[in-house]
Amino acid sequence: MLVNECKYFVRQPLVWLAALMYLAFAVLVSFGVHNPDLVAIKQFHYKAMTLLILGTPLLIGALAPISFLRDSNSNMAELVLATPRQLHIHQKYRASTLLIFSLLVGLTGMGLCAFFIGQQTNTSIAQFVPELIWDLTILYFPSLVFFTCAAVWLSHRFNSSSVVYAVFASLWAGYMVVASVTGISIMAGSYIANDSLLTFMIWLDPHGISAVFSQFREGAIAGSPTVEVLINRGIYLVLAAVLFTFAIKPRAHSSSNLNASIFSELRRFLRVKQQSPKKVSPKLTLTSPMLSLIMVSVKSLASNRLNQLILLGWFFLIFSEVVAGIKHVEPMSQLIPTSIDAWNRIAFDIVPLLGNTLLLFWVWQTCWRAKQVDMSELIASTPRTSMQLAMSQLCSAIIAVTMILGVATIAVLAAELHVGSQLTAGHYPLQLLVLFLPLVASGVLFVAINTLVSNKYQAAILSLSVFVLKFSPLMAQLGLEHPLWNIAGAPLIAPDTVWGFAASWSAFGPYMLFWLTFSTATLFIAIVYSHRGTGFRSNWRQATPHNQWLAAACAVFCVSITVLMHGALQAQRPLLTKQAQHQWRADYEHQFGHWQQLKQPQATAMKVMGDFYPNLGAANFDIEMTLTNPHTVAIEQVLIGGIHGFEFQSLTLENARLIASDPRLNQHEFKLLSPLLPNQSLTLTTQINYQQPSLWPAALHQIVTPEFSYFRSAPVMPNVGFNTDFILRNATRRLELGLAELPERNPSEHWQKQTSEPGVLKRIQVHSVITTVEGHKVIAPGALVSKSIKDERATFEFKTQQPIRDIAAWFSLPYSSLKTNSSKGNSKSTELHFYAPKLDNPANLESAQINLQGMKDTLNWLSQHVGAYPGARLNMIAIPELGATGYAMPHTMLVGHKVAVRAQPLISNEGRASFDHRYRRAVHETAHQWFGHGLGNGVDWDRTFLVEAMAKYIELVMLEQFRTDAELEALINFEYLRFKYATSNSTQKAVALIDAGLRHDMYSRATLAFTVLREEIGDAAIIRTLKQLWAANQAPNPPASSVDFVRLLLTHTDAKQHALIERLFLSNDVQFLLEHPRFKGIKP
Amino acid sequence: MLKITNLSKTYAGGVRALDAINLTLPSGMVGLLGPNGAGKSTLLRTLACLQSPTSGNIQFGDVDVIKNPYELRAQLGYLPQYFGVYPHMSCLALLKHMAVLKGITNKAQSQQQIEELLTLTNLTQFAHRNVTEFSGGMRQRFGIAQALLGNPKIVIMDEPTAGLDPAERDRLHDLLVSISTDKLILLSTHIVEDVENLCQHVALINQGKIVDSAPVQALIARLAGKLWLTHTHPENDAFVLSKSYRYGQPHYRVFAQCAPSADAVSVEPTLQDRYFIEINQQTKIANEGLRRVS
Repeated sequence: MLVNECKYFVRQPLVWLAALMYLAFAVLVSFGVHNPDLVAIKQFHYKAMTLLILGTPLLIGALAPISFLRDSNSNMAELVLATPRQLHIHQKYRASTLLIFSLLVGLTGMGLCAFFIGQQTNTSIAQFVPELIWDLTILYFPSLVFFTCAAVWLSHRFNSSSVVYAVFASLWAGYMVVASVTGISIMAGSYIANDSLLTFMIWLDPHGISAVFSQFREGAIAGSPTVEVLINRGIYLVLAAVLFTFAIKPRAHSSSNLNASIFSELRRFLRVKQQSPKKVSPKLTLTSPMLSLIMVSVKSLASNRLNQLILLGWFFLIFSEVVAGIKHVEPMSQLIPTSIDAWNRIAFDIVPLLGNTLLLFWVWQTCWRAKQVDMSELIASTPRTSMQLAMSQLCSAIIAVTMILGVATIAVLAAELHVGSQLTAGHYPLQLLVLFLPLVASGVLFVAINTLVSNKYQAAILSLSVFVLKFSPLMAQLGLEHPLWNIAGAPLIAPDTVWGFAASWSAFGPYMLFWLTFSTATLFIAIVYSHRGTGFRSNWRQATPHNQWLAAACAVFCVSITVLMHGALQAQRPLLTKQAQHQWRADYEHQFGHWQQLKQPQATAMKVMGDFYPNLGAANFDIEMTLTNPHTVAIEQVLIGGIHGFEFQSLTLENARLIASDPRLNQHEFKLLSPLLPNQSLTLTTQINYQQPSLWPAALHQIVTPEFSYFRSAPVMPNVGFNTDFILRNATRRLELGLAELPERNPSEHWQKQTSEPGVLKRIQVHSVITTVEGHKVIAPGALVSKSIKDERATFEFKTQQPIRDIAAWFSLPYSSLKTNSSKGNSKSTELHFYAPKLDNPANLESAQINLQGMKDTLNWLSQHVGAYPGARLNMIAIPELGATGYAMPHTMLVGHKVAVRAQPLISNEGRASFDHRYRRAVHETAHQWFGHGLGNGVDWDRTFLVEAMAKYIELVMLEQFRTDAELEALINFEYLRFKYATSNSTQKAVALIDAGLRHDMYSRATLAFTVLREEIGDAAIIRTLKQLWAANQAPNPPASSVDFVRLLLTHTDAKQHALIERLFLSNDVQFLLEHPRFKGIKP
Repeated sequence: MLKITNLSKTYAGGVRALDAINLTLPSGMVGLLGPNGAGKSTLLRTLACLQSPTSGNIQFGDVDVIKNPYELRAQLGYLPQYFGVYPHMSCLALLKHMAVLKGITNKAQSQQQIEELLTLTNLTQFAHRNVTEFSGGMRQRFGIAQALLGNPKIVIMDEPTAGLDPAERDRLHDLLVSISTDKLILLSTHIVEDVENLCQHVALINQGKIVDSAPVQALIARLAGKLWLTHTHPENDAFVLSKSYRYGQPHYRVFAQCAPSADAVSVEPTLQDRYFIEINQQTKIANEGLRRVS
C-alpha cells in the first residue's frame, strides 16, 4: 500500500516542482561562503537550519492538499471512501509517504549544502556527515513528523486546500517574526526582544533550533542533545501523535467531543454551509455587465471567510509592526514619531511583499473562480467581450488593492493614535499613492498572466515567478542585477522628515509610467488571446487579423519601451553587473597594472571653482590640481584616470601631451614634454559636470537637490597613477580572470614577520570658490575666507590652512548652523558648526547643542593630549536618511538627521543606565579627524584598527571625562552584549583585533579591549603612545600603522603588561574578553 | 441556419477530436447523437466559441462565427454537460447576473424573463435559495433557465436531461418543443429516445466525424423491412443491433435483409436502431482494421 501511495505521489508534477524549488533554494543558500576563515561546520548547521525553517513548512504545506485532500479535490471522495480500506489506514500511508518524501528532500537539500560549503571552504564532505545525521534526526525528523500530522489534522478538520495553505503560510511567516525577536540570526537583524519569549521558544520552538542557538550563544559550533533539545523534540513528537489520533478518529464519534472546542467553531466559521439551506435575498440590481461582473467578483472575495480572516490578520500585523518599532531609532534611543515613521515601518517591506502576495492570490482566485465552480463555460458563452471579462477582473484587482491599503491605513492610523504619534495628514495620500500604483501595476500583470495562460497552475507558477524575480535576490545572485527586475516597482527610498520623498521622487513617475504602460500593453495582448476563463487553449485563428496586428504592435511596444527605459537608465548611470564590474577591474589591472611600478606625481593642492544649481539638480566644477614629484627621480609619463562611466568634460596636463586614451576604462596616458624633476610641480586642469539622475534614487556621495546638495571629490575627481581602489580583491574571481594572486597582507602577519611595507601620506591643500543659489550655505574644507551675493547667487570662498587628507567635499544647504568655538585655552580657536534644518525647534536645538558639545569636548581633549586639530573650522551636518548614521571627512562630518537630531536617549522603565547616542556619535566622528584622517590612512595593508578602534577608545575617555560613570558603564554593557551576541552567531573564525574587519570586532570588541587595557595600564601610556605616533605621522615620514601603535605601546608599558596587550590586539582569543571579570554580571 | 464546413479540432496531445466535419442544420430541434468520446462536447464547445477550431468555418445565418464570435454569443443559449455555480448566490441573483451578462439591461424585461423561466423550470419557490444547495435536478433546471435567458436564436444543450426525473424531463421536452419554432436548438445526448421524441433533424457523430445527418424519418426509412426481433441469436452474418431481456428471455433486434431465424418477426425501425448500426459499423471497421494490422 505504501508503494501504491508512492506511485501516486511521484506522478504528481507539483511534487517534483516543490522538490526542485526546495533544492534550488538549498543551492541558493549554500552560496556566499567564499571566506576561507569560515567555521565550515557551523556554517553547515546554519544552512541546514535555514532550509528547515524557511523550506520545510512550505514544502509540506504545498504538498498536503495533494496528499490528504486529493479525494475531495478530485471529486473522488465517494469512490475512495467506498473502498473497504479504513480512513486511518488511508491517512497513515499518505502521511508516511509525505514524511518519507520530505525527509528525502530535506536530506538531499542538506547534502547539497554540505557539498557546496565543502567546495567553498575546502572541507571534506565526510566531515559534514555526523552533523548531517544530527540535523536530520534531532531537528528535521521531529519537525517533519509534526508538520505532516498537523497537515493531516488540518485537512481532516477543514477539508479545504485554502485553509491548509493559509495556516502553513501563517505558521511560516509567524515563525519568521518570532525568530527575528528571539535572536535566531538566520533572520537578518534578529535580536532578543524578550527573555521570557526566548525561554518559551527554547522549550517550545517547533523546529527546536532556539535551543541550538542558545548553545551557539555559549560558544558551541554545533548543536548537542541537551535536555532542552530532547524535551522539545519529544514534545513535538507527542503532539504529532495526538494530532494524528484526532485526525483519524471517525467524525461521528469525535464530533460530540469537539463541538465545543474553538477549533470546531473555527471550522464552522470557515466552512461553506451546505447543510442548512437559508434564503438569500437577491441584491444584484446592477444593469451594467461590467459592474455586475465586478460586483460578483468582489462580493465573492469579500464574503470568503478565509479572506475575511486574512484581512483581520493583516490589520493586526500592520498595527503590531507599527506599534512595536515606531519610536525605535537605535538601542537606547527613541524619538517622537510622526506619520512618516509609522508608514516607514511597513511601507517598504511588509506592504509590498505581503500586499503582492495577497494580490497574486486574490487575482488568481478571481480569474479562475468561474472555472473553479464549473461556471466558466456559462460565462464565456455570454456575449461579453474578453476585454470586458478581463477589465472586470482588473477592477476587482484594483478593489482588492484598495482593500489591502485601506485596512493598512486604518491599522497605521490606529497604531499612531495608540502611541501618540504626531499625525501628518498630508503624508497619508502621498504614501498611499506610492503604494497603490505599484500594486495596481502588479495587479494588471497578474490579470494579464491569468487571462493569457490557459492552465491555472501554469498561470500560478508564472505569477509566482514574477513575484520571485521581484522580491528575491535571484537575479543578483546570477550576476544579472538590473532595476527593472523590480517588476512593477520603482526604486523608492523611504521618506524622512528632512526631505520627504525627495531622494527618489523623480524616479517614481517615470517608473510607474513605464510599468503601467508595459503591463497594460501586456494585458491587451492577453485579452486578444484570452481563454475567457474556460482554460481552453486559444490559438492564433481565434483573434481577428486586426487584433493580431494590434497584439503584435503591443508586443513590439513592450519591447521598445523596455529598451528605451534601459537606455535611459544606462545614460544616467552606467549599469554594470557584478561580473562586468569584475571584468572591468581585471581589464584595468591587466592594462595598467605596470603603472604601479612607475613613479608618479602626487596631488598636493587643488583649486576648485564650483557652481551648485540645486533647483536644476546640476553642479559644475572647474578644477586645477597641482601635481608634485615627491620622488628622487624624474617623471616622464603620467597616468590620469577616472571611474567607469563618468567622463571628464576636459582634461589638460601642463607641459604634456596625451599619447593614449582608453574611454572604456577612462584612463589617459600623458607624455611630459620635459621630465618632471624632484619637487617640481605641474598643473592638471579638468572640468566635471554633474547632473542628478532622475531615474535613480539619490545616493551618497554625489547629490544635488534643492533640499540637500553634496559633492565628494572621491571617486569622481581625477586619480594620478594606478588606482589601488580598483584592484579586484575576490581571490576566486582573480584566478578566473587571469590575475595574479594577491599577497596575504594582514597587519598581524607583518607583526609576526617583523616586516613593514611603508605607505604614502597623501595630503592636499584645498582652495574652493563655490557659488550657489541665494539663501543656501556652502560648506567646504578649510576656513571661510569670504562670501558675497551677486545676481541672486551666493559665493563662498574656503581655504585650508594645512594640507588635509586627499578627500574633499562641498555642500550647498538650505539650512544654517549652530556655532561655537573650541576652548579658549587652545591657542588657535576652532569654529565648530552643527548644520541641521529647523534649529528654531527647541528639541532640535537641544540636539544640536549636545552634538556641538561632543565635538567641542573631543576636539579640545585630542588637541591637548594627542595633537592640534589641523584646521580652523570643523563642520557637522545632519543629513537625510541615506543609509549613513555617521561619516567623517576632513573638516566635515555627516550624521543622520534621525539619530543625531530627532533621537532622544531612552529612559528605561527599570531605571537602567543609558547613554546619549548623540553625544557618543559626535565624539566618535570628531575623533576620526585624528583617527582616520590623521592617523590610519596611507597604508594599503592596514585595516581599521587605527580608525574605528581608536575612535571607540576616545568614546570611553570622553564619556568618563565629560559625562557620568553610569553612561560609561552603559556603553560598555551595550558593546559587551552586542559583541557576545554577534560572536555567538558568527560563522567566521575570530582574528586578531588589528586584523578585524567585522563590525562587532571593529566597534564592540575594541571597546571591551580598551576597557580592559585602561583598567590595567591607565590612559597615560596610551596617550603617550598616541602623541608620539601623531608626531611621527607627518610628511615626509611614511604613515603609521596599527602595528606601529602596538610596537610603540609596548615601549611605553612594563614588560609584565605586554602579554595582555598582545592578547588584546594580536591574538584571536575572544573568550578572554567575554569571560573577563570586568564584564562579569552584565545582563541583557 | 447553421453551416459547418471542414471543421477540425486537434488537441495539444495530438488527439483529433473533430475530423473535417461538414454539416448543415436547419432551425428547430436538432439532435446530435453519438457515443461517449465521439466528439459531441468538443463540437458543441466549438460552436459556442469556447474553444477555437484547428481549421474550418462555421456560419450561423449571416454570421461568420469564427471571425465574429461575439455576434454568435449575443444569440446563444448554452448549457454545458457539467457546470457549477458561484457559492453564496441565490438562484434569482445568479439569473439576474447572467441576464446582465447576456445584455438584458432592461430591468423590467429581465425580471419578466426570469420569472417566466423560473415558472417554466419549476424553480419559482426556490428562487431565493442558494444554487449551491440545489439538488442535481434543480441545478440542471437552473442551467436550462439560464441558457434560455435573452431569447437566444441558437440554444446548445449538452445532455440537458441528465439528472432530471421523468416528470421534469417531460416538462423540459414541452418547453423545448414550444420554443423551437424560430430557433435552432441543438441537443446533444446519447439518450436516443429523447432525440427521437423531440427532434426533426439528427446528426450522427462518431470518432470525430459526422456519419449521417438528415431528418429523423429519412434516417429511419432506410431501415424499413430490414429489422427483425428474435429470441435466438442469429448464426449467419446478420447484424445484432441490441440485446435486451423480457421476463428473463433474451430479445435480439437484428438488421438483416431477410428473416435471420424462424421465430424472427419484422419490426418498425427506430432511431436507436440506426444509431446502433452506425456505432457497430464503426466498431466493426475498426476491429477489421486491427485484425488486418495484426
